[in-house]
Amino acid sequence: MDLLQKIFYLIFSFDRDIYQIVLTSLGLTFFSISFATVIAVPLAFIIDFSNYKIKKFLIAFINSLTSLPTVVIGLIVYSFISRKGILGFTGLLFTPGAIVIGQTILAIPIITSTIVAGFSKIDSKLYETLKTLGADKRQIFLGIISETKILIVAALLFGFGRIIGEVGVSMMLGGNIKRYTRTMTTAIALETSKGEFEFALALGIILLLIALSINFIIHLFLKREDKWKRI
Amino acid sequence: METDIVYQINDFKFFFGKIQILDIKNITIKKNKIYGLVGANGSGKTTLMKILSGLLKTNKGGIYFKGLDIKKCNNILNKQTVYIHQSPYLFSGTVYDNMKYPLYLNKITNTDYDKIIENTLRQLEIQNLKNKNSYELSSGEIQKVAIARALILNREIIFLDEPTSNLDNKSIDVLKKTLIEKSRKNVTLIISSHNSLFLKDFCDEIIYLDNL
Amino acid sequence: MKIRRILIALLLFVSFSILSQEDRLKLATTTSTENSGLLDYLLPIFEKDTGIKVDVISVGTGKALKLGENGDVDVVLVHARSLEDKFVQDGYGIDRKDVMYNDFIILGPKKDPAKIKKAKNVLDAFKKIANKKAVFISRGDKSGTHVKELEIWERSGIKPKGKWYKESGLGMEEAINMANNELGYVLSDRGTYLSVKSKIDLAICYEGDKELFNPYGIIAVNPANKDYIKYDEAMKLIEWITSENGQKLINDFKIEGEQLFFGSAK
Repeated sequence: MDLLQKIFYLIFSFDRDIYQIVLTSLGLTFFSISFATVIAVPLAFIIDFSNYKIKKFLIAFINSLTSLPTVVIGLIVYSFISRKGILGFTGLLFTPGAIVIGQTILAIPIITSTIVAGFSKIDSKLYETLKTLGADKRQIFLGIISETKILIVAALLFGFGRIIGEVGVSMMLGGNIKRYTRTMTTAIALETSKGEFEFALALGIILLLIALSINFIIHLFLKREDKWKRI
Repeated sequence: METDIVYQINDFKFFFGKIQILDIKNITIKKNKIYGLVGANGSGKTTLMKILSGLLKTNKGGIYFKGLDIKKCNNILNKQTVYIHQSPYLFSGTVYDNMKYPLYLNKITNTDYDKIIENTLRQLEIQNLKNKNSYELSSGEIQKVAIARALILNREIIFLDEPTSNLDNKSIDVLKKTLIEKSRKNVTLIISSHNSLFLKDFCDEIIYLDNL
Repeated sequence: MKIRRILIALLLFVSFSILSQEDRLKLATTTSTENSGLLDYLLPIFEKDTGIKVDVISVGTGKALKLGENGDVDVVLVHARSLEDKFVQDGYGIDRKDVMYNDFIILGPKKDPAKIKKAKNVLDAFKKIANKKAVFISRGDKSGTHVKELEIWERSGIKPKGKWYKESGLGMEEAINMANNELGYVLSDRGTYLSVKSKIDLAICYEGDKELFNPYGIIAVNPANKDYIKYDEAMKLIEWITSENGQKLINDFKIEGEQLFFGSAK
């Protein structure tokens, strides 16, 4: 029970160190998901509308990217932005920006493949209806997104899940620098290796609470929207 | 007269991959007439209508829209014709939202929406559905709303794919009346149907498609 | 449109990242150094005195030096003299200075089954452990501690092999925890021991041999051909940490009331 007490204290006393770490994680995740969405959604459209021969290959390719270990992606980006790498001149290694780049790359495949899979179920009639009613390319794009909001939100949630709990990319590209690139996951890894289990558990619980809250908020948002289920 | 011909189809073949769907020697579609499109399942009725309304692209020659090669008409087809699916897709929201959406898409802003929508719904006697959500409707109601949604655009050429499949007799009569009125106002109609009774004393011409 | 706004935010964020590290000095050090808490204590004072923010990246000794070699950090602080000398010899680092030392100790079960408390010197202690085949946890990760451990085995003429010798590949605390669980021996730095002392049942079974001194060196990364290296700031840190003031601060640092590091700057 002493352990629980310590954990509750850490969480609810708004210990500065812990909340700095939480905010870092949330902030970086926010940026990563935003950039990933901007790339992943149009990419999903491109794949969905592509010629059926290429499409099969593209879908298989994107799907396999989703199961790449985070450390591998971390390693690849690292080799680019280390001073010895091609993009070394940017000096991005060990900065928050590097983590965002890595996490964006992590999130894109899973967001894209989720949307493409969902599109395959509803797309063509929606597309034809928009087209015959006179929508131009931009209106078709926005119309499909508007009608598939639930799907896109689900895709973003998957992306969020993949990112918020990953440690390979954050550790390798961020360096776990105190108050700068220390995220919840890298902090948990560090504190666990130091035997400071209370701190790690407190962070773990906060992580869980955040995931639950986000799911809850999304649920409320979806309820307000029309319960459009028919395909 | 030449200017009366909307579509001229000569020796047109359409394939999906290796399978041939259409093999048409000669079809002429004239302005303001009502055409019935008849054929067994799989004879290519839907395919033909989608090609003529610009939803399916073809790279073979043989179809002329108002004198132009249809391959060059992609942009105008979507503005001058409208196609209604056999089991249509309604957007999320109310019937009113579905009626307003096409007006918004076509940037028709200087009108009294409420009046136009109300009038169009009345034509098909579905004004009572105005505030219902699309997921609450029966399949017959969906069909009527989809037709109303297309009619509100006042396009010259309307394709209806099996519009009576989900409708009761009363609704079919109402639909017939509405379409006849439309045809009097310079609208060309192409309607595919299995229901020969519906097409009988209503179409100016029947087009038969054989299976290949 | 929204997309444009987000892309602009991306560019701003990435450029902010690139620019904001303009006045941050990157220091690579070992995990045990960071975990001791010394840097958390010293560096804020350094920042107050000089205005320079220091980013500490703690990894294994090998990786810390590799980061220096690649130019990904500006200065390294490690405790592996032979590797440090090679680093300077190879031209990757310059201006190496002694900073401080702490020492290694051999932890073991209170009962001391291999009776190393009575060992003549550390080589003898290791021999006793091997002869008794008492459980010994090795870091196995080329860290400073591991390097020291291997040196002692070599000088005592023993090749440790067998079920009793476990190479863990874990950090210092985890290795200590493992030894704690298995009632075995482990070579540890004093600092880590002090910080976990209250959580374990192991005791210091051997200490004091000069062999076990663990000297730390700080080396500036050679800025030749690398104009992005913050050499001036690195030198400021080196001067500060080896100054009378810096050395006093190091000596004043205590864990559980005990001094951990001893300033050794000349």
